[in-house]
Amino acid sequence: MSLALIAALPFLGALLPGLLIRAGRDACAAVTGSITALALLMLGLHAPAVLRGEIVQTRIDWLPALGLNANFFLDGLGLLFAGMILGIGLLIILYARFYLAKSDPMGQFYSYLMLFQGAMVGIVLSDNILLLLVFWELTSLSSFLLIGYWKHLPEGRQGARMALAVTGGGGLAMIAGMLILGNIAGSYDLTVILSQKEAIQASEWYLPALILILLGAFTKSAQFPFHFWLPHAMAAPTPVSAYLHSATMVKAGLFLMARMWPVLAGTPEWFWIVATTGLVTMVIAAKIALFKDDLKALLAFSTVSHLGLITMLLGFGTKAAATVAVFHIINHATFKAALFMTAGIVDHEAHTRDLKRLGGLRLLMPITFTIALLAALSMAGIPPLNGFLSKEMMLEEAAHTVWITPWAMGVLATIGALFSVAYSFRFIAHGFLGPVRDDYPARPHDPGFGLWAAPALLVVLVVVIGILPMTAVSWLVNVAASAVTGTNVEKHIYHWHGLEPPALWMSLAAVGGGIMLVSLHARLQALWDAAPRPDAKGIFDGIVEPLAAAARELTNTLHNGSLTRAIAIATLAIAGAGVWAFGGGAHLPGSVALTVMEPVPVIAWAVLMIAALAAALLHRNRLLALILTGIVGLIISIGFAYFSAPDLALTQISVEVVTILLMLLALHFLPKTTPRESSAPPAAARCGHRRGRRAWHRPSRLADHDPARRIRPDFRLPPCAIEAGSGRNQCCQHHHRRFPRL
Amino acid sequence: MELLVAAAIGLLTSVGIYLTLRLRTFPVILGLTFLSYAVNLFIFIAGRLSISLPPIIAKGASYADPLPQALVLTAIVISFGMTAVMVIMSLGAFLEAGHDEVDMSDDEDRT
Amino acid sequence: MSHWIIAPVVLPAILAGLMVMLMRHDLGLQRIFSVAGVLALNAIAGALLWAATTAPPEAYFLGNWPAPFGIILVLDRLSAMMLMLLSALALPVVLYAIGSNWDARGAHFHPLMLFLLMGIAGAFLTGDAFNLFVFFEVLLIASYGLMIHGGGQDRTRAGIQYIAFNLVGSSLFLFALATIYGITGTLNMADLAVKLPSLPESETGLLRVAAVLLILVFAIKGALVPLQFWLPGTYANAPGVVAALFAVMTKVGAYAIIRFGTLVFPTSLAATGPMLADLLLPAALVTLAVGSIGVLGASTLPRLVAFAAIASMGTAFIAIAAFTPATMSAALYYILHSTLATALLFLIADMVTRRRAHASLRASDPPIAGSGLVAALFMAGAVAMAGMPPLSGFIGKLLVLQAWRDHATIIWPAILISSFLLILGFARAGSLLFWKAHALQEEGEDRPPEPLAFTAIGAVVAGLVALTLLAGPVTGWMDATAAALYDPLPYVDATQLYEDR
Repeated sequence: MSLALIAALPFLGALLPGLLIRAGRDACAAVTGSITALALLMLGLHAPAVLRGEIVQTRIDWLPALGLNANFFLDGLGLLFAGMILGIGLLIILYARFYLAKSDPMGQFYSYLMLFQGAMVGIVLSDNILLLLVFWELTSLSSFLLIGYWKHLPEGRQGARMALAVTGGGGLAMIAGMLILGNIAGSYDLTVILSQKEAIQASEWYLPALILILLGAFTKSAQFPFHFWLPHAMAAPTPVSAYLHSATMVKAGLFLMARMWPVLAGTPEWFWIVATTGLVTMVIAAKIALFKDDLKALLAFSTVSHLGLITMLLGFGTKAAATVAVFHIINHATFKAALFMTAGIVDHEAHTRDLKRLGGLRLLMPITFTIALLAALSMAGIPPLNGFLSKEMMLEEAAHTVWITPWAMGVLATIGALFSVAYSFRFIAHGFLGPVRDDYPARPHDPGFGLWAAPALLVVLVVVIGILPMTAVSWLVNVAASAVTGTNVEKHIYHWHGLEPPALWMSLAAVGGGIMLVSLHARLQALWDAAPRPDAKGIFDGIVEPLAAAARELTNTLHNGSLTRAIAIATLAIAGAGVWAFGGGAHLPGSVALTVMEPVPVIAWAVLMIAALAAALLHRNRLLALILTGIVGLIISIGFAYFSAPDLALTQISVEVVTILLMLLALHFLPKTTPRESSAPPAAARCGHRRGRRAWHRPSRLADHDPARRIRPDFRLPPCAIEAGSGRNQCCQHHHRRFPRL
Repeated sequence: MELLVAAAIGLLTSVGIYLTLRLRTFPVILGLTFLSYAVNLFIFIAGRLSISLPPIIAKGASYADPLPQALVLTAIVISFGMTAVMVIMSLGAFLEAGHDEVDMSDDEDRT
Repeated sequence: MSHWIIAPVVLPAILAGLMVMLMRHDLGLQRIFSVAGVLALNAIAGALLWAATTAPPEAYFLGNWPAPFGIILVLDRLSAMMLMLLSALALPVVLYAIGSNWDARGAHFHPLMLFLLMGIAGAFLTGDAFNLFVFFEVLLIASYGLMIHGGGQDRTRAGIQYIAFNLVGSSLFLFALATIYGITGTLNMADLAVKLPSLPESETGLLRVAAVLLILVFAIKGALVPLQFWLPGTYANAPGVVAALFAVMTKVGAYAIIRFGTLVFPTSLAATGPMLADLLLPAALVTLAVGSIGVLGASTLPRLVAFAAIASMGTAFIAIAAFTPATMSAALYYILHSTLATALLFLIADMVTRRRAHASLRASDPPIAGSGLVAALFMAGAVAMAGMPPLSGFIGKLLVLQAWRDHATIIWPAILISSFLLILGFARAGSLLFWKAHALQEEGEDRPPEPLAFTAIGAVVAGLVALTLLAGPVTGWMDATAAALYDPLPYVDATQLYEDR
């Protein structure tokens, strides 16, 4: 029960900030924080058991027939992630309290944040992949709200929609993948699925399931080529970026890959898809990050790059690599959250995040500088900080992995690390070093304790983990890595591996090359700006906008308000379906003898036929058509009487009389004739009232001046070509009457 | 006789569909009236044609099937009601809009 | 024989008649009686639901005439469920109509609504195909009145289109019924179920035609492509509260197809075989596509909701089209969800359109100021409709996907891609409508708060939440209902058709 409660607490807590905001911003933040702390405490109570290697489970039946149950379990991986989500969440709540301006609706912010937190905790604790899907899509929805929190920013709106489209779309693919996986395994419970590696990998549905699930993970973790949404999500307030894009949302994809690692990993398909995607993402994003002037954009692409790195490690499919991945997840969360927060502090104080307008901040805001420096050095992989440890281990793994050629992986990984060094140093060099300027939009200075406390705490972790890895985290890494790999992992983390391992030399090359890149940055930037490159947002908009426009065009063309066409299509459909159905069955002439024809009824029949035909042909004269209709009705009444239905005849004739009278009355008000006209072009288009959308109709209509074609007002599609000049003029007058405002 | 009735039903239906496909309310109403004629005859003939027989089930004697007659009766009344509603509404629409077109243009339909 | 079976038909009819005759000029009194009537209807539907769950199907013989000559009503699990859905939806609708003052904008809102309820309830209950036609006409004629409630040029003309199209549908209905009668000599549904399997081979051609025509009539009601053209104009131009009630009218079409597809023309019937499925499935897939593309391309909020309704009917028909007990159970759950979600969105769309001059979804038009509550409710509706968690749409979608797992390669992509289009469309609409600059937020007329209207919307949301949380028991109930549909013997026995033989 308590696991479900941990996942439910943030959701319950989401109600409070909105209500408590009237009691003041401090109360609001305090309540939000204490709920998170409570959840963290409950998680902590389970920690000893998990660290002993036990698995804590909670099972609640929800929809057993489908296999969708509220089953939760907590193992090392879940503990690591849940701890990260709740712990960093707590820091974010503190940070946001001081970050948000007075005009920002804080209650709403905390509500969204708690929703998101609950969804994330739900993902990492789920023991049911359908339940996991529920939480997965919830993170997409709540992050949509968070990214679009500043409703007045058009970028926020666009970024939110893009994020939802990409991650929500990936989630849909994952639904299919998870259903396939569940159908192979015969259960949707993770604990069952995780034990069926052989059956799943042997199934012919393994590859589709793998691709669909990875689509979900890659979109969420912003892996190439889905990386483009993450930088645009930076329109969100910085606490959101720090939370979603360092420790949580983007890590959900990694979590999923780690979670599914025991059943999906280890095949060539897995290696090629996952390792390649990770490698490409790592290198490309690191390169882009170097050339971003916006602090948050730089950090966003660096995040993409580091996510690629972790993805690549998971893709290797070896236990050692997976262990390194787990370790780097921890390290990345600590230094990247701290960096985002310092970027937010700079933005908050200097009112700009543009590296071109910054510089010299080390003297103006020394505390922020210290925090940023330590975190950035860790990101660059400088000893003895924690980033160094995991990066060195990553290079070591890469060097021993054969990808196309034995050396390609090592070289590319080194290049990725090199760019990583470069952008980390640039963050510091262009933001904090250099001379103090006098043209900042606002004179920056260190913020109050509330704002820098959270990043400071994270940086303390960065240093402590860096210096004392075995004491600080190895127990957590081991238990989490054991959960990922399904075997017992006892990893020893060292700083010094001796001179032999290639990682040392790769690291040195990366640092040297990185420093060189930063010093050459101005010239490289010019080259970069000159080089053509695809703009992901442009491509995305280039797909979505025409899609929406095409949808609008199609919808409006289909549903153009024409009853005539609707009935015509219905008639054709009904007739077609009827003929089709009749063709599938047998039909024989009946056995009942036909009744004998007599002369008088035949004459009456002839009158009926002629009257009906005449009504159709002469219907433009409405009075005449009405009289003819009356005649038809009269003959039918007589027919009823003739065929042994006198009461029917009486009813028919009385109804007939009343109907005709009613319609005569109506005709008194209605026009007496029906004009000749064509139906298909939308009435107003003919007069040019529409903004040229259907202008293409006109030339053909003007070209067709054959008066003979005008005789039949037709419903055919598109019969716009039938209408001719004089009819158009009439119509124009007519429509000017209808639209006096024009 | 069956052939004649069948031909009449066919023609009435065609005329009905043709008129329903006109662009003004009045011919559309006429078309619907024609359709209801055709339908009434069709239901009626579904009980088979019989001349000069009582529509009452009597033991031993032959009779005209009374059930279709009851159905036609209902159909006549309902179609009358529907026609009346449609006439009133089209009149209202004409008086309100100043024209009696049935199709709505793109702009109107989307407001 | 319990007289309660006919109560859902008689009660609204009497109340409506009383209202028209005695309290024509007293809206207050009408409101009281209307709410009381709907509450009573809920109680009756609840009791009938209980009866249908615990006992085998039961028939009610009007005027004590024996079937097939007399008209019978039959209460079984399916009809009880649909009745419950109808009355459960009617309550928030009537509350909303009162709370938003819609019922004061024209005459006879409450009597018309009660007549509509009567017609729909009758359609769900009747065991006679011709009687079904009669109830269709009753509900149609009431819906014509409701559709043009409040007046306005566009609404009246959309109303004419609606009537004309549905009259064509009514003619088709009669053609189909007459064909069936001509072949079999009966229109009692249970009687048909018994007689059709022994139909001579020579009649199968005509029977197939009749079956197809009948299904097409119901497809008009259910807005199945290519017979959906009437829906966007009608629903978008109808008063929001009426459109919300109409959400259950499309389900009448779905109900009738389920009833005839399982009782009268089951797949096991040699003459028709899998014909209905062959016809329905492609049409349902196209319907889903047309609806979800329409959501992305709609130019106003009410039209967007109308297309979302079409898309949800597409999904429902996909589930129905398999005609197996497992998929039928999913279809029934989806129908419940889709009715509530569609109604919810129409009510919210109405709330939005009444708060401002336009509900345009063009990017060039200025966004509209809205209270956070309306935006939040819209989000809930969109989430439900697009099939995102945590609301019942997600569960419904999973059920349909799972039910079609043997034909995953066609059905799954169709459903998931359409969900994607819905997400895009709703996200676009929501951000265009509700996200705007702080500076403009204060504009927009101040409307008096409408606690009753919000309560009504809240009730629909609560219904969706309940459907989600109770998904386990509800689907269990649906499984039993679907199984009962495929075992028509108790239904036939209830009509006492063959007791003497």
